[in-house]
Amino acid sequence: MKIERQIRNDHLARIEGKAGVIVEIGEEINARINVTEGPRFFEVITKGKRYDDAAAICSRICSFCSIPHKITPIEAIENALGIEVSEQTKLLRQMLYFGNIIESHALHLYLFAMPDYLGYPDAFSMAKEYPDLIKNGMELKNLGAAIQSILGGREIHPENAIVGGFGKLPEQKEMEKIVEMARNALNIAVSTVDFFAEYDYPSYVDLPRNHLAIKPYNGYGVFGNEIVASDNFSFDVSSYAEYIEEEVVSYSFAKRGKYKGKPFMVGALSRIVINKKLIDGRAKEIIDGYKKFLRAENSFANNFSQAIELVYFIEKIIEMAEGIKIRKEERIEAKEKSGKGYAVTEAPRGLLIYEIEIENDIIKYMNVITPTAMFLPMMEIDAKNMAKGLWENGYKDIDLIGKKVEMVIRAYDPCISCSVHMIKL
Amino acid sequence: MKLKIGIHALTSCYGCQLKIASIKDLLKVAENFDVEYWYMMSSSGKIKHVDIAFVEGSVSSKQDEEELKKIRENADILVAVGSCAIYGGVQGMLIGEEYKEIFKEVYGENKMDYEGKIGEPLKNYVKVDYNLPGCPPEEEEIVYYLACFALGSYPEEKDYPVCAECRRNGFPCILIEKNQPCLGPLTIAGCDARCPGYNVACIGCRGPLPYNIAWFDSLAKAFKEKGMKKEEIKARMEIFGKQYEKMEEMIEKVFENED
Amino acid sequence: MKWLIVFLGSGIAGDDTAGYEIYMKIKNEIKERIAFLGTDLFRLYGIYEGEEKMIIVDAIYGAEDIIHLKNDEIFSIEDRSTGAHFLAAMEALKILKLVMKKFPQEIHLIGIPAKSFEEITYNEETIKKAIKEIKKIIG
Repeated sequence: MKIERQIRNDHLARIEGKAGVIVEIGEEINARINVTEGPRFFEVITKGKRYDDAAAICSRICSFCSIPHKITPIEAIENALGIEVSEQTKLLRQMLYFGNIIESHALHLYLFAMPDYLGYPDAFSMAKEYPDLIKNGMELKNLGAAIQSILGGREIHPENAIVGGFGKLPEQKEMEKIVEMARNALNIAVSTVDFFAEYDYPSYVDLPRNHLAIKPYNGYGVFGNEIVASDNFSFDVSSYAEYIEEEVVSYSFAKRGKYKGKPFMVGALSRIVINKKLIDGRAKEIIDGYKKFLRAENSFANNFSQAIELVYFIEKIIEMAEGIKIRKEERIEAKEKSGKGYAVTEAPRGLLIYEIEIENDIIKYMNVITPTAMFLPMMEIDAKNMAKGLWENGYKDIDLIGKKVEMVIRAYDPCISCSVHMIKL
Repeated sequence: MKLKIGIHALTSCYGCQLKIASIKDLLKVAENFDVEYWYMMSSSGKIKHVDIAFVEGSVSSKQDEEELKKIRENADILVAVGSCAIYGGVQGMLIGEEYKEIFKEVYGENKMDYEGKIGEPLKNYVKVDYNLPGCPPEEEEIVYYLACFALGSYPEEKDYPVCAECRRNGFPCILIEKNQPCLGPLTIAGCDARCPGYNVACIGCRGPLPYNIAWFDSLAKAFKEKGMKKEEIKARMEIFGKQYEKMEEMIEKVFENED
Repeated sequence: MKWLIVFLGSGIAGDDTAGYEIYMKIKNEIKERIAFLGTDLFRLYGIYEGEEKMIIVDAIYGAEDIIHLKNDEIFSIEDRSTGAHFLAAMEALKILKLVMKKFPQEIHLIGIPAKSFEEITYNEETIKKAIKEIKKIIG
């Protein structure tokens, strides 16, 4: 194809990790997301390690979602070795995980996405004209960070979350601190929804697509062992390889996902599309009032969905932290030394799957499929359609098209470091 | 006049940058600097001349190498931030393996447009002026480094082990009392012995202690006294510190026989 | 809380242990917030919670008796004092002021006379006197 114009950004800003986009305009319009972030071979480096060390290594896959990358392998290890953790541990892990989602969404919405909506290159320049916005975003982010520090030891690479439970349980007064911070943050979360409800979604990226999400054990939660698709099909996580494949392309160090051979989406929008009925409280009222913003066929709705999740998860944090009475207990020790286990959780950006095989306390095999790797092909299609829609409707300004293409990419909240991790074929 | 700084990542988890972005009074600290490039946070600013460049991540691809060289050419001072930049990180554990073999295992016969590498520290490619250790680094230490530079002074690395902080906090010694391979005696301090405080044995994420300190030997001798094997401790230290050039020497010394 | 009292020093090196000794004794005698920061005053960054007034207790080499300095007087001693320890604390104060949005409005320094890094030359009397001085300041 003869290339008439090219839109190219080799190093996308305001995303996690290193990736670029190239849009080629000729008789057709094509887009490619180049994932140039280097490979780190996590599934190879964890082999031969003790399982608790392996879990600590896995959290280093990513800092924005280091909690999912610690708790999910921990769950898979516990499934492999027949470890049944206490109800208190399950509850505290849920709080820890929600804390991570709150921080991750706040970071993404306020520091990465909002500058585009308001026409700034970054949050620093945005802060000069909108100081309250930044202050609000930081308060949400700090709430998430505080929850993760209290329960995980620290908010990046949570060493306190371990196989069998926790190194040290939090104190009751720390729960009270969380309640207070969360109460103060709830209205900010609601105002975040209002912000994104001010903007229409470009119809150029309207495209029906498959959404995949977890079937939660309880409520609109992040833990479960069944995956549900928007084509009404569902399957147990242990058979994930039959329905979710990872393909290799030459321009991406990350492998890319297909569901039954087709591109698909995961993340906040997918969760709400599939599990909307499980949402309650203030978030439910908001969804009922803002129905038209939950457009399953448009990726911009992902920003809006993340804002809704901020409201929901903050309310849940208040509920859980108010209701819990910390009881002294020890971590559960493993009785088995070998086994195979699967785990799937809903990381901020979508489904995260771990498959782990252990022999004599040592990792024999590990596979990880991250949400960003799963939605890369869908993101590419949306990037193309955005450029195509603009070009074919008379917008020939390359810079403008480039900015809009980046907005679509950012709406997915891609986590590129996560997407590049390597497994044997 | 404000110092010009640049913040960049090669291949990593982005935790060091996330920590910088999470500084409590970030806007106050930022008053002392002009941030010329920071891709994670801003779409304005490409790599250009700065007084101080802060770089996290290991060199894990040809592109990383080229970016690093460009940054080094255009910076008066280069600070390697975090375990990946200083020692290669957890991905640096693969050093010594044949990249082509691992690549083939993972990608089969597919050809990639880009050239990857086994992760290495920055100093294998360019001169590094300062190290800011951690995985991730502590906010306090980041601010200390930034403030020292802003004052025209220079930061000093800590030269004592995590044990000093553990004792100051009065935590029970995990190595002595729980018989677990806590790497505190061999790991650089700065985290206030957080993990031992949570009853979790230190995994050495801040990197090996670069100096011989008078009394670190005595606690390090406890590994041998507790019946732990040299290979076990070495393997654990290598999770974050495999590419520390004095690792073999240090482990030998720790396990040497008394006369 | 109005007052924050921080103690500097080491746990093992001669006269440098004075700060730690006073910290351990005064713990149960006053209700103001106190903290032992080891040899690094910069650690104040992580623990400061907005207190209006602060007392720093540290071993000062070259002093004959307990000294009490306030605010700007503290920086005047730089020329007279020996010992990298104290100078490091002064440097840390300068750095902290640069990066902390909130900072104590009133700072006191209580210097314990120190002579040796190897052995302890201070006695019970010195410790008691220092504690008395601290209590006098906080009122």
